[in-house]
Amino acid sequence: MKNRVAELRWEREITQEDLADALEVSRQTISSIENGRYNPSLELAFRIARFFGLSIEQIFMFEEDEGK
Amino acid sequence: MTAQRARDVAGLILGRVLVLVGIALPEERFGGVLLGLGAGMMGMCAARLYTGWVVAKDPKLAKQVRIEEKDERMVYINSFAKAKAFDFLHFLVPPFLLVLSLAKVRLWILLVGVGIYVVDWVVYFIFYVKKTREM
Repeated sequence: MKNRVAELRWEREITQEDLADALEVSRQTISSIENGRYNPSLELAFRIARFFGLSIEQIFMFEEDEGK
Repeated sequence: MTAQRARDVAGLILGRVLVLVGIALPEERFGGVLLGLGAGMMGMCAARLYTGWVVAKDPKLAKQVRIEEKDERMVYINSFAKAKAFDFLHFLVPPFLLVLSLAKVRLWILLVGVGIYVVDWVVYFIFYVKKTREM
């Protein structure tokens, strides 16, 4: 799963810590999501999307061959 | 007082009682077990109470601790580590019980080991069925 969390954060000049604070998760979780090491739960994905004012599909991109 | 804090205070008192009873029975083997159990319980509860006290004094730290406790990645990592530990334990226990039986230990010791192993699997299946029905 690819995502645009880091890109959106840079655009809005928000630090990982600020985003983590707003979403009530740890900074390490934000870092792991940005690096693709951790896929957030659906609930957290919705909260991230809501934070940026976008839909989930605009932030998270599922790649077909991932599940194989 | 939160429920956890009340449990820790009760554990601290119970631990102290166990230590005192353990000291009062120095000649008995059971006394040593009570002493160890009580000291362990006291240490664990005192450490948790102290941590709670330190965290309560610092709102920023309290927020960080609260977030880290609920953080879904940390919860996932914790659950994953526990599941792996469970698998590992269940891989180790049968050969260990076999070694115990070959070493001709007392039957009740072997049965206690088997009992713990069985209870662990029963708990696993209880939660497996419960969660399967819920989800």
